[in-house]
Amino acid sequence: MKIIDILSFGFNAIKRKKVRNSLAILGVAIGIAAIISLDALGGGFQDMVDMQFQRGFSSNTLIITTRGIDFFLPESDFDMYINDTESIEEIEHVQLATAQIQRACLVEIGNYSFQLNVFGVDYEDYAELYPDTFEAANGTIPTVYDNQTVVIGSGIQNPWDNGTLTGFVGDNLNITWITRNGTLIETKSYNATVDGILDEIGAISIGGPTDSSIMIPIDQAEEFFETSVADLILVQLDTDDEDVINQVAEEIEELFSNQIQVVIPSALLDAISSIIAAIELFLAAVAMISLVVAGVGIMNIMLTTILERTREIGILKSLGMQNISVLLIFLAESLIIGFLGALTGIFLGWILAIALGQFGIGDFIAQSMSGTFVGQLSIDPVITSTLIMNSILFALFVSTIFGLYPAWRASRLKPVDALRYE
Amino acid sequence: MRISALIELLDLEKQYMMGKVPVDALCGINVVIEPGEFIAILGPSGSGKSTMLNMIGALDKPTKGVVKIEGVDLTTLNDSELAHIRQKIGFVFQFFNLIPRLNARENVELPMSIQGISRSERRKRAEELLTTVGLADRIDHKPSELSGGERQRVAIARALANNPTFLLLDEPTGNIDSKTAKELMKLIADLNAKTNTTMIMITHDKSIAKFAKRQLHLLDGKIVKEDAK
Repeated sequence: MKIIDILSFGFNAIKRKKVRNSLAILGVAIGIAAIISLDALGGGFQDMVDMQFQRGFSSNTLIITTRGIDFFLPESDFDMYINDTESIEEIEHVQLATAQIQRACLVEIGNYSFQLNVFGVDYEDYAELYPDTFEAANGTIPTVYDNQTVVIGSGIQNPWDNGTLTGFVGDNLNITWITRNGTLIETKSYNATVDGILDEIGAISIGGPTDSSIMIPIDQAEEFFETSVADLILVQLDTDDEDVINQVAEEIEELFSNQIQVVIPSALLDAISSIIAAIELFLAAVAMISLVVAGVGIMNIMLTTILERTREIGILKSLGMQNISVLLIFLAESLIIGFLGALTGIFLGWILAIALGQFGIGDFIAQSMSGTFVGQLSIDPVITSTLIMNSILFALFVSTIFGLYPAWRASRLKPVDALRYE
Repeated sequence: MRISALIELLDLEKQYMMGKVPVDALCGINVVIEPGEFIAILGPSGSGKSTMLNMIGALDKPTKGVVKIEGVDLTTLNDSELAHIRQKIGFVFQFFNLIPRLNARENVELPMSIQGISRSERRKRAEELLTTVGLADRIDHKPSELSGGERQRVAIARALANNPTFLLLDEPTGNIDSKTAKELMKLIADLNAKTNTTMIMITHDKSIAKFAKRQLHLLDGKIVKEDAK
């Protein structure tokens, strides 16, 4: 019997039992959709992280923080001061060290107000550290400035990404800081003038500028927030040789008696990548399990089908059909279910990946990482032809495995018994 | 020397197990059937006529004895070789045994499709055969849209599809009213006369059996009487 005739016979049989076979197809589709969307989002997320880190961090930059990145160690109440940068700059290979103060403030611009992080930075040092991102698209980043100056990320001006702008260069921006003074609640605020608006960065960063950053001069921050404690110190080295970077990181840690943490961006990138890979692997395992369940579903309906069509098997055998052809006919039915399930699943998974990437996952991850409003950050799912091919092959593999036993049973039926079956 | 017969049954015995009780369905059947014959096998239910037909049709294997078709001993063949033998046998069953989801033409095409005949060729032949059995205007109908007599005509067309060496008819009129049954028998007798296709038919109805040229009477697994026209 020709393969084309076997397939069309199987397809014809599947069409007769639409509800039952649709459910089996749906079972496969759910598994495949899960794999497709996870893999596509995972790939997209990895791309996003890579892009973020390339833009938000440079390979020759170290970030010094007193707040632990390691959650398992007790937090130190050790303080770094702004002028600690001087002693860091004395270390060999250190080109530049600059401090940063960071406070959550209520920011009013135009008729809108947001709770945002205000960063006190040295504009000149910052421009040297982040030449690609700390660059004004509108206005200028002042080199000579008074205390009233402020530079904002593009997300502050255009938070909804829909053309509704909150303000322009030259507009007033009110910064309000609420703090405790003994038992009292103290509210301080001042008016700043927007001198520069950054170009869209589309990236998150530790220490570096982001689309939702408000940047004021470090001197003003020191005065307004009444502190000389630095939240971060950013260090630029004259090399991106990994050994030297690790060496300098150690020296800095020793300088502060190991009470601070030095974050090496490339190491952080590796850590995040491996976490993503682990999450992906776990979710892929879950998706695999759902496909195995779908496979059991295929086996179940095929066994039912064969029982119902015992007489038909007898007829086919009485017409001279070989056992192998009977086996192939029923295997073809499972394969068709698997194939249709894969196609449906790829379609559903694609839509799911785009939907999740557009509305949610990106914002969610970015918000949990930065702790603030970041505007919209979409992940573009990466759906490759390899991924599509692999999903189809995997669905066909599962349906073969689970369709083989029922088909084999059908092929072994004795013609005389099968014909007599009521 | 005699040319080998179409079908030879030699000391054919078949024993079934009904639970734990052995039942002798056939006890020593000896029959020789020559090409072009039209034979009716008569007998009450339980006489072993269906069992005998299953043996000739290569659907079942005897406990003892030999079944030869065109000189080939079926008892020595494996599943695949038996399937091959069945491709040259036309079956017509009491309950039609058409595939319900296929229309008349597709049902007739099925044995040709099993043999790997091309789509266009089998389509043409199926339409010819359906015309021969008088169903030219019913080609696209599903079995459920046909009467009992029409369904049996489709089954006969299907049985003829592969130019079989002989036809096995198992109570072909068993589920058809007597008037239609007569017409159907005329068609079968006509096919036998015109195409010289050997017909072996089971029936318990004497008025149907008289269309055959030779009658074998079975009782308790033995041939008790033989008539010839």
